[in-house]
Amino acid sequence: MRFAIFLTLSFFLTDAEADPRSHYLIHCMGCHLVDGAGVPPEVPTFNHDLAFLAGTDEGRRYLVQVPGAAQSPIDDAALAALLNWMLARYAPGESVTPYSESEISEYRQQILADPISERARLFAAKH
Amino acid sequence: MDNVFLKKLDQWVTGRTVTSARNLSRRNFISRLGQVLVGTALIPVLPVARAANTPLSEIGDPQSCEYWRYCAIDGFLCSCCGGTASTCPPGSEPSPVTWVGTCENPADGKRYIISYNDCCGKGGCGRCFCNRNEGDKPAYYPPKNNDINWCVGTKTNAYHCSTAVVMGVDES
Repeated sequence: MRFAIFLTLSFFLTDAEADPRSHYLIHCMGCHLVDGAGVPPEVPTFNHDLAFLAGTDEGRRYLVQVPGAAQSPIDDAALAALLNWMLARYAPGESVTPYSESEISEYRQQILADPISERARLFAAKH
Repeated sequence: MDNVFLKKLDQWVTGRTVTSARNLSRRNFISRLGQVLVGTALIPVLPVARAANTPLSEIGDPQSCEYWRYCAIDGFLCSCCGGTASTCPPGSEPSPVTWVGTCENPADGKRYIISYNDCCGKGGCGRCFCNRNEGDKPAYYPPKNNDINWCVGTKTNAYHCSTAVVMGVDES
């Protein structure tokens, strides 16, 4: 009995932990590559810029509304987990407020018409 | 003070030992030990340990369109063009950018994440054309559409053939 509980528990634990990584591989890796290197300038590299963006209100919106994120066929909770996983994986050691499901829902309902200009505008503020 | 404590402890241990010796058979000990041994032996069977280092078991012919990894491919099979199911033929260059799907492996019944990297830089191979479209989405959903020439980020966008690289088990 105890062994059965252990089995069940370990199954759920692995599932929850592996979830964002699988979503990354299925929905992001195709262009951003396994290591997040991307193909600049067309496909941006995932690095500490993620933490820079997630550190401001406008940047947080951008990361959710950029078409690759907003249009990925996963629900808001899964997208929140995926973005939080990416922040930990590609911008390690940064203190960033994690995304919540409700935050994702709010941003995702607003369409970002010109992602490239928005990206340029956000990074102009950085330099 | 210490002596009193040790005496009490000694009495308690003795009491427990005698009680258990009266109540439990030797076979009981053996069966408990057996449970522990089997439990320990089963730990590597758990998904946590297994995912780490199990080699992929596969069945089928990588030169056949029916091969499980090709469930969402659209193009010439690199395995018929001098490459393999996961490597480009000599003289062609793998596209870093790719489209990704999932296929069920009949050998273990699990879904795996497959990256369909195109091989580029040479004219079309022309052998083993294979067009299976499981999970393929229309062109207005580019990340999941296989009609696109994925030879981007390479020296030329000439399409030669397609590979199907296994990225891991789909845990989503």
